[in-house]
Amino acid sequence: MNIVVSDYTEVMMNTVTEMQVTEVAMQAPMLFTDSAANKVKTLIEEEGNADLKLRVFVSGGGCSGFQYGFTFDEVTNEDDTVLNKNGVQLLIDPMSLQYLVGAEIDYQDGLEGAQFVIKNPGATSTCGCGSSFSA
Amino acid sequence: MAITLTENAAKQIQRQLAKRGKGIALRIGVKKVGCSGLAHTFDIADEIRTGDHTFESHNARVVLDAGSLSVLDGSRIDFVTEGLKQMFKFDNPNVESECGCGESFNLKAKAEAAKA
Repeated sequence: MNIVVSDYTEVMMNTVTEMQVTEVAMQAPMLFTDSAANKVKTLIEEEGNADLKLRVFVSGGGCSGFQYGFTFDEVTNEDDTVLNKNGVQLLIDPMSLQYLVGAEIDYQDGLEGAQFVIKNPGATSTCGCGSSFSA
Repeated sequence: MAITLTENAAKQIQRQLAKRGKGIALRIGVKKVGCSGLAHTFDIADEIRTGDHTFESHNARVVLDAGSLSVLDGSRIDFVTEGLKQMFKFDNPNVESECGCGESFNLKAKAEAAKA
């Protein structure tokens, strides 16, 4: 499992109700950036496996309550939400989706290194490294 | 006193300097942060300041001020790929403990005393 960080130190409290969240989720669950999609494309080419998809998930743990994770998955589950971009797919299971509505999935390549990152407007606080958050 | 770089770390520094088009070294610092005390900072250095220490390995340079060097002295810096993530990794003999995510760290009592 890979833990990722987000640049957000302070984010707005998300006050939408559960019903509204469901509605938003059906319209535009998340933003899958070009940078992230292109990196997935590159990794798929490197691996030589066209079946790979990027899966983002939320699990318990970390100093702030929840942790984000990214992994490559060959299997799309029935209840996954699938985002298509530039010929590659991002998968999110329904449990994780409720914490990630409105989030942006990006890939940043900079001086310190390179990684997939999540900018999540639904997180109310994050830990120093951004690998965990409260919702 | 010394800081060493692996070939991968040197390559990352060279890549980032080339991408920026200017700069002479990777400046590494230490700041107080996070759940465990200290964290590394990274910048591209355009100049060497009075009191700076520079170290070169595999044709790449790092520069540190005296305070940061006292915390990082003896470190071997690598640039690693862990899963889908690439990052600098410090093998620092002065470190006592690290935060779960590796973003922050604490010093051994001896190094803490040397710093003060």
